[in-house]
Amino acid sequence: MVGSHDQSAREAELERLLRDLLDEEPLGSGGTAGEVCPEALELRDMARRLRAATQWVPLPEGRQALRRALLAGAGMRGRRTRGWTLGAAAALLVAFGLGAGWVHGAATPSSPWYDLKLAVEDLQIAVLPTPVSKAEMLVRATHQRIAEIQAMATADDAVGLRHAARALDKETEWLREIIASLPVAERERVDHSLDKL
Amino acid sequence: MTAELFAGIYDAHYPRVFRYLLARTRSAQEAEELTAEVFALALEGLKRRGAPLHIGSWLIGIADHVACRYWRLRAAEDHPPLPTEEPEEDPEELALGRLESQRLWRCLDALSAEHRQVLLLRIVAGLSAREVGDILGKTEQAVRSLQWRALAALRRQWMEAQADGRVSRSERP
Repeated sequence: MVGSHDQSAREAELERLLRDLLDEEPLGSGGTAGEVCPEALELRDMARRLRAATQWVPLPEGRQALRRALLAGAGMRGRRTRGWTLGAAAALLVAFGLGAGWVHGAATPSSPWYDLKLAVEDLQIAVLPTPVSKAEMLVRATHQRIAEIQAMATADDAVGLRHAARALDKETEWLREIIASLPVAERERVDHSLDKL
Repeated sequence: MTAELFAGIYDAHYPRVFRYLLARTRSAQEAEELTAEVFALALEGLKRRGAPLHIGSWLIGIADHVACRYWRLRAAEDHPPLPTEEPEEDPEELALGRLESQRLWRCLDALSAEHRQVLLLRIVAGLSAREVGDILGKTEQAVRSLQWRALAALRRQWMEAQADGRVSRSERP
């Protein structure tokens, strides 16, 4: 009979293994320094087998045509801004010095420096004085993530693509939280400001 | 909502939506068509209401509705018709991935609907435990418990299939 505490620990262990399998961020605390529960390893292997059962099928060749058709049919606006990447890079150089600037330029989503680059960007946004300025910088950051996603998709870099997509999700969530926290009048000001970007 | 944002979402999430629908329909052609429908619906949603908090789970939620409707139309939801005989012995049919998939689908079909759903969302679609919880209306901890039980049940099915001779010894996990 397995106690509820033991079972809970095993479930957490399996969760860590699955996060590793699915290339998610590791669990925040309580790393597995000792032996891993054999049953959790068996279940992870079963999960790997199940995942592989759909991964072997190639993605449809028609997906790029669909992408073009959706974008063309949607009548969307084009890119809101140009040259912001240069501006963000310059701000990073001023704020954090040449080392951070090098990280910003060199870190692709599949690079080991990518998390550091995101952390620098987060810090830079966090220290901005107003929600509006934070929102503006976050929009710029999401544009950067999208460019990275497109580059990773072109390069067929699945790991980098997942990292950039995860960062995009987080930044979008942060942006929405900031906007949701504002009074209505302030939200309109943010919208107006974002439209200028 | 900009073209760049939608293009980024499309590039990042197309594979997981397609593979989730592939697992639901067991047909690459059907999955491709349904994936197109999902992104068309998503585009309308994004234009009207903007991006949701968790784009991945939102898209899979749409895919789930589309897949359910697909099976309702065929009056076979939750129990997709699968070939009962072994595949023809030609090189394509003998591809390891396809054989492996068919055997796993049989084991997956023997699970409860809840176990099957959590495995498709968490393992096949690659959603986080939190995102799966959002879809199923469960806490993250409840999803962790459920995924343990679901994987254990799947493994039991796999081992039983092996004992029955449906899975060769070399395929034992």
